[in-house]
Parts: sequence; structure tokens; C-alpha cells
Amino acid sequence: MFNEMSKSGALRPEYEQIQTWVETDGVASLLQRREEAEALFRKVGITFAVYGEGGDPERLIPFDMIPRIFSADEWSVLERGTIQRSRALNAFLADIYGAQKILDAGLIPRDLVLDNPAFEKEMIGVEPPGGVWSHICGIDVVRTGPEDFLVLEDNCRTPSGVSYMLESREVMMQMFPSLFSDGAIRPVDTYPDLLADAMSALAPPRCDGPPTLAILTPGSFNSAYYEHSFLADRMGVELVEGQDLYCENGHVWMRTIRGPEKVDVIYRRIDDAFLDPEVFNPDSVLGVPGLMDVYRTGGVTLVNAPGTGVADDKAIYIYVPDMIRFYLGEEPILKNVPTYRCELPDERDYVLANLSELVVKEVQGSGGYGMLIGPKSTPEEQAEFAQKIRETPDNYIAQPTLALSTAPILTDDGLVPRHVDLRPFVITGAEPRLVPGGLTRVAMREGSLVVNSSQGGGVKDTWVLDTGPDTRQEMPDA
Amino acid sequence: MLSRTAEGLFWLGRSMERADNVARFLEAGQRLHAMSGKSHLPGSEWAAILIAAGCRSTFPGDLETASAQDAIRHLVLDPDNPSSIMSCFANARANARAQRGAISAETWAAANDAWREGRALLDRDCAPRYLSSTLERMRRFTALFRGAVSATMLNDERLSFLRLGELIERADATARLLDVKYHVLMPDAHPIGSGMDQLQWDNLLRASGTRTAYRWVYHKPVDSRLVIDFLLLNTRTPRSFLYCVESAAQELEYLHAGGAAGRDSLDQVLAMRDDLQSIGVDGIIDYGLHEYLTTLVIRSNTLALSIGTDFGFQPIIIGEAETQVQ
Repeated sequence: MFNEMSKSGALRPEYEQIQTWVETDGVASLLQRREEAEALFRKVGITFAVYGEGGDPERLIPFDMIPRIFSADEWSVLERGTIQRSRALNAFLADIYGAQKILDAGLIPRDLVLDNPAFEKEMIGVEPPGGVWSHICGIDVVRTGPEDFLVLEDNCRTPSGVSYMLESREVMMQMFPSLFSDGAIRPVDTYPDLLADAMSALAPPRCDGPPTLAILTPGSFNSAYYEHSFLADRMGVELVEGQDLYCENGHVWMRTIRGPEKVDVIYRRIDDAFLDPEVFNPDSVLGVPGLMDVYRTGGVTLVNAPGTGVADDKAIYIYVPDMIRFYLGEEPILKNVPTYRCELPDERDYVLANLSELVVKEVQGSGGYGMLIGPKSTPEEQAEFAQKIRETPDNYIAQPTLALSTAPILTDDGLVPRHVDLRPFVITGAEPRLVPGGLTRVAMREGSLVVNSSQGGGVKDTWVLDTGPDTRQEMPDA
Repeated sequence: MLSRTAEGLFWLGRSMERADNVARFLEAGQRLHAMSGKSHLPGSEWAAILIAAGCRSTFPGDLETASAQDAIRHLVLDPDNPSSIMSCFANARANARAQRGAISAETWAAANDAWREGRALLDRDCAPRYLSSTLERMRRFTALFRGAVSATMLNDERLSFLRLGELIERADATARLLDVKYHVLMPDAHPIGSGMDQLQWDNLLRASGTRTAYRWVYHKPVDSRLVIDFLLLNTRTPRSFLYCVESAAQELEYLHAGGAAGRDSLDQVLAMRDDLQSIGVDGIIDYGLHEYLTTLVIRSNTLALSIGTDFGFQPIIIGEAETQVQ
């Protein structure tokens, strides 16, 4: 198991500053300050909602003050790898809703794409501005060794979590400004500007003049509402709900105190199914009637485009390395986790015979729900999943249980290792960009592999160093 | 600015102001109760307070026999009473949260803190011996909120809508507070000008926080005509009805200058201001104080509805607004 704080048993230079800091300030006094950090989070209202469990629905994500650190070299791999992946996913989306070359080439089974519930027939033939479909792409990365980064899943619809990346940094800078004094940590607060620039670069064909941007939210009871309002605030754009918008004369308009105002680019944080009751779910009150019509005729840009979910489906995931080769003519920089499709008889037999060692996931599941972690499961749970897999095999995939890397967290016993993952965000406007940072989620319980916030996972600040101390030290030898 | 944002800010201002006023009503009730001695029907002053706070229809049970404990609980922490302090804080915070991007960080923090404290209130905090300190604590949050608003909010349309909510609510509350006197006057037992009568007028000044200001303005002991003049027609105390209307007129002139769907709200507020400026305290007494207060409450509610129409708020279903004072 790879501990990111050490290298062949010794402390990695990137973490020296952290080690010194913890030793100087002392565990007890830092733990006290953790309450201060939590108070800061609650004060600005960064909570997420958990309904149906009783108690206070507004929970605070546990925050660990020990940052997770990437050297410049490590980050360079991640940056190239995630951008490459995002370019391939966008090319794939443009292709399957267009010429369908990859299906004709037989690289991906036709029915897996066309019969996929996330494949939007409404989008066939649509060409979004700039050919960009997934403008904001969250690529979940895990690590199993010093050089081994694996992509766990892609998030091409409306990935969330970026507010935690930004606020974790803000809290750290507020509480421990001295850690940032040497300027070695790359800033993440450019994210809202990058996003606004990307949106402005992709104005719809029928927009003349500078485009008006807006963020469309399901409303203040949505669990990610804080993030929606936070981004609108930082980007300086209106945060609209479906009720604020209407379509007329081929444009989308928002209701303002001065009357209607045209909106050109909408970053929508509501699911495809609720976007437009005239085209999708007719019962939706969150969306805007007629929106798809305006979109298809070039009156508005939607970020991300509808129908992107087909690219982050767990069954499609298996083919992303093939997409990279097919569309870009490159070898994948980041590997996939080996994945078994229960739909295929051979692979299903293997999965059923090895349930106690594998992680089984629902193809459509998310948030860590509906999964079986073999080594942590009881024989009864395994039998239950075996039954489910036999009943609807195409609904499940399985992956080996990974030895996820650990990063240190602060506890009463000092620094102890806990499993982590990482969600960096690729933003594509005129060109794809990766903000140097991301959302590091950490399993707060010892030995746990589940990092989802809905299941007790926490977050950390993620540092990307400008030039790693190891590079500096190795320079004289070079 | 989105119409929904304007509406949210209006209700944010209005809910916070209502929490403050309900606390004032409760303080007035507590003193009336202490003054009334044992000669009165039990709880009658609480009926007057409940009516003034607009809780005629929300209070479960008979108003006239309401016990102090039940009345206080209903006004402080009954979640089924939309005007309880706890509900006002919850409503203010929900609007602040929905309009987080339109208010300053300190304004949000103040609304959020008020809600967090308000929802932690217990029955115990409503017991007569703890009520004063509870109200003082709650009033600290409304003061903090006003301070955050005035010290940190950009003075643009956003603040105008927030202020309008606050001003209309305060005007309404001042009229209702004066009307408490109508309900507890009991002229048979305590004729006008008697010691008890004076104490009751004095209590109204205390509840509005303007007792000292009254003395600075009139240099005279408490007198019913002057209290009416002060709380309705004075243009210098931020708690008088006319002051609120004049300020609301300024906000609406500013907002309408930028354009709006209609001009009903501007016409109405200017007409109200003109009427108040010309009537004089004798005019009010000739009209009948209670009757005059009733028309003021109705007109301020109509004004609130017209603001909504002019600036595209969602249509409001009247109900909780309770247009009649009775």
C-alpha cells in the first residue's frame, strides 16, 4: 500500500514542511484549530444536505487540515492525462451524435451506446458551439504506487465538488497563512474565471455582442446549492432557476425587475431529464419549456451539453482507452482500472467466482451506493449480489479491490494514513485547461475505502507545487 | 437583477424586521402583564399582543383565555406560527440562502447565525423568568443583521428591496403596536388620563424603543395625543409610520427611475406620504384611532402587493398577511 507522505520508508521532501509544521504547532493545538476550521465552513454555509436520515439535514463535510501534495512532475502527468481523456470523451460524444465512426469501426458495441439510457436521441445531429460537449469534466483518479495513477471513473454530466476545492484552500490560507508564504503552492482560485472565459468563448451562433452567462440551479434545496451560488458569486453571473427563464422568439430570457433580459450561455446544474418538460420529463418544474428548441437552433449554449452522460457510463468507461487511440492517435497517459462486464458470460463467471476479492458496482449507480466491496462484505451480502448479477448482469461491472494510496490525516494519535482519491476538473472552452488542484476525498475511518461524502468521507486541501523540492535537489546531478 | 432575487431580498428584510417586532410585542406584553395586577381577566393583555402580532388565526385555542405561557411559546418558537421569532429567522435564513449571491458575506452570516440560535430555542427559554434574556439574545441577532446590512451592503437595487421589506414591516408593526392600546384600554376601569392609561402609553414607547427620543422631541410627560403624533407622524424617528413611508417612497422613486412594469407602488406610496403629512394628530383622532390604524395596515399591505406586481414577484396569495387589524 502506497503512503504518499513517504518514499522508500523516508519522508518525501514535499511533506517536510507539513511534518515540521505538525511538530512545531503540536497535534493537540492543531486539533483544537480544526474546530475553528469547521466553524469557518459552517459560517460561510458550506454544508451539504442529507435527507431521510433524521437529525439536521445540513451536514458539514469533515475537513482534514493536512493538505495532500503533488509535485510538479506528478501533476504534469495528471494534467496531460486528464486533458487527453477529456479531449477523447468530447470527440466520442461529437462522433456518436454525428457520424458514428467509432461504431462503424466496431470498436464499441453499437447497442451499448445507442440503447444506453443516457444516450439522448434528441441530440442526434446537434453540433454544439466549438464542438464541445463536456465543458466541465471531472476525472476521478486513484493512485496505487509512486507512478501508478488510474482513472476510476469519468464525470461528464454536471460534476460537483469544485466549491470544496476552492473553500478548502481559502480556509487553509485564512488559518495558516505562513504555509503559503514561499509561493510554492499553485493557486486554484482562477477556476471561476477560467469557467467564465470558457463559457464566453462558446457563445451560440445567434448571439451578437458579448454573451450573457447564467448558472441554472434546481434551487436552494438541492444538496449542491451552495456550490451553485458560490460559483455564480465568484463568476459574477446570475444564478437562475427554471421559473426565472422562458423561451420566446428563438431566445432564452430571464425575468428581471426591469423586464426580460436575454441569456446566451447557461451552465446548467440540473439533469438532462429536467431541462425541458416539452422534450424530456413532462412533469419537470425545474426546467424551461422550449429550451431544447432554442438550443438546437443556435439561440443558447448549454454547459454541459445534454446527452453527455453516455460517455461516463461505467460500461462505456471500459472503452475510453480505445477512444483515445481512435480519435487522438495517442496512447493513454492514465490507465483504466481493469473492469469486468458481468454481461459477458466469461467475465460474469469470473466475477461470481471471485466476489470476495472484487468491487462490484451498478452501471448506473453513483455516490458509493449500490456497490459491494468484496473483502469487506459478509457471505450473505455476497450471495445477495450474486443473485442480482445473475438477474440483471448488464447492470453490473466489477473491478479488483485496489490498494488505494494513503495520505496522512490528523487525529488524536498524530498523523495517520487514510485512503484518498482525487477529482481534478478539466474545463474546455477554446481549449482544455486543468486547474492545478482538485477535490481530494479521504476515507476518515481506518481501513475504509469509501471516500464519498454521503458515506462519511472527508475532504482535504490539494496542493500542486510549482517546482517540487526533489527537482531542486536533483538538479546538481543532472 | 432577477425578479425572484428582488422578492427574496424583500422577504429577507421583512422577516428579520418581523422577528424584531415580535420580540418588541412580547416585551410590551410582559410589562402589560406585570402592570395589570390581579383585577383583570387573566390573559387579556396577551390576547391583545397576539392580535397585534397578527396571530389571531394561527393561535390554537381561545385568544381571550390564552395563558401567558401559551402566548409566549406561540410567539417565540411555534413552528406552525409563521410569525414566531423562530419561523421568522428560518424564513429570513431560507431567503438569505436562496439569495446568497446577492447579499454581503456578513449579512449572510448574520442571518445564518440568527437561524442557528433561533432553532436551538427550547420551551424553557419561554418561561417567564427567562423570557427577558431570551428576547434580549434574539434582538441581538436582529441588531447584528441591521448592522451588517447597513455597514456592508452595496447601496443599489438589492439594498432597496431589502429595505422596502424592512420598512413596510416596521410601519405595519408600529400601527399594530399602537392598536394594542385599543384592545387593553378598558376605559371603564381606567379612564383616559388616569395613571394606568399613562403607563400603558409609556409602555408602547418603551416597546418601540423610543421613550427617550419622545422626551427629546416634546419635553413633556407621556400624553396620548403626543404618543400618537410621535409614532405615526414624526419624521425623525426611524420607528414612526411616516418615517417608514417617506423612506419607502425614496426607495421606490429610485427603483422606478430604472424602469418597471407598472407604477402602482410609486403612486400608492406617494399618496400615503401626502395623506400622512397633511392629516395631523387631530385629524386622526377625529377619524378614530383604531379605524385610522386599520386603514394604514390595509394600505401598507396593498403597497407590498403592488411592489410585487411592478417588479415581477410571484403572485402572492393573501392569507398570512392578515389585512385586518380588528
